[in-house]
Amino acid sequence: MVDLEDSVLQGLLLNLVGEEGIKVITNMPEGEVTDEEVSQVTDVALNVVRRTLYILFENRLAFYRRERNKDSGWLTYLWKLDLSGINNLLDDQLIKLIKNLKTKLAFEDNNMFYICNNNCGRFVFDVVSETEFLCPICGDDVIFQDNEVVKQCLIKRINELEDP
Amino acid sequence: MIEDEMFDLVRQHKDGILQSSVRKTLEIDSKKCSRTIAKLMKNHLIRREPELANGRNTFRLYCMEFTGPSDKHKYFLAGGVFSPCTGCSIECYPENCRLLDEWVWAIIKEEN
Repeated sequence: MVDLEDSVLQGLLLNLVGEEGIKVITNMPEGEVTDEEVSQVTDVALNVVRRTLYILFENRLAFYRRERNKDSGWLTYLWKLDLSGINNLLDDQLIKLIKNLKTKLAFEDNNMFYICNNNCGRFVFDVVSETEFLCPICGDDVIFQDNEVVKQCLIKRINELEDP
Repeated sequence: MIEDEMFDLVRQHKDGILQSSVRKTLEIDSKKCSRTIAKLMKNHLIRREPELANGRNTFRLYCMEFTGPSDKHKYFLAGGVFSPCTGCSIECYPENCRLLDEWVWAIIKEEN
């Protein structure tokens, strides 16, 4: 049984389908249902329900079966939710996050960073060297930022994600 | 349906079941057996691992039941902020992603 109250699952589903999507998942009726029925039961707009179901389908968390009406020839899509594949999705996302963090670590390793006193942002050496070490946004002085803490944090989190 | 029968059979065997045994129990030919297994694997319902049984190469089938997020997955969270990359479908440059930056700073804050 999938515990939708779990903070990790909540975070994942929120990023995937948004708050309205979570409403669809939690209130989705058991068995095969049409998108219109889901919309009625959950009180979520039909386009949002369809969007949610397609996102879930892309991530193998929902499946559909098509049924053709013999008289009209119209196709009806019958949807069924199956969150048992969510662990595989979490594992896929874990690999993606590790890859992104490694890219970020390499970027932090290969660059020097400067920050503006007015919190305008964080700039790399190439950018501020062209503006004579003045903030490209407000024109105030920028100061060097030691990014060792960022690098250490990235290394630690990559290790935790790879082997807790 | 044969998929349901096969899934139920695999689920009953917590230590896995040989593909050859599944074929014999369900009384189906090897072609149908392989195709049904492929369908179940595609839907993430079962997984298989190669095994040598009685001198022949076969597979052991395991049921994939939901066990909840593991310890590794807990690291998606940093100070209550969930990793922005998880579930994100934008083709981005992680080095310039503002959301990822914010998440990294949330980790730093959490640890200090």
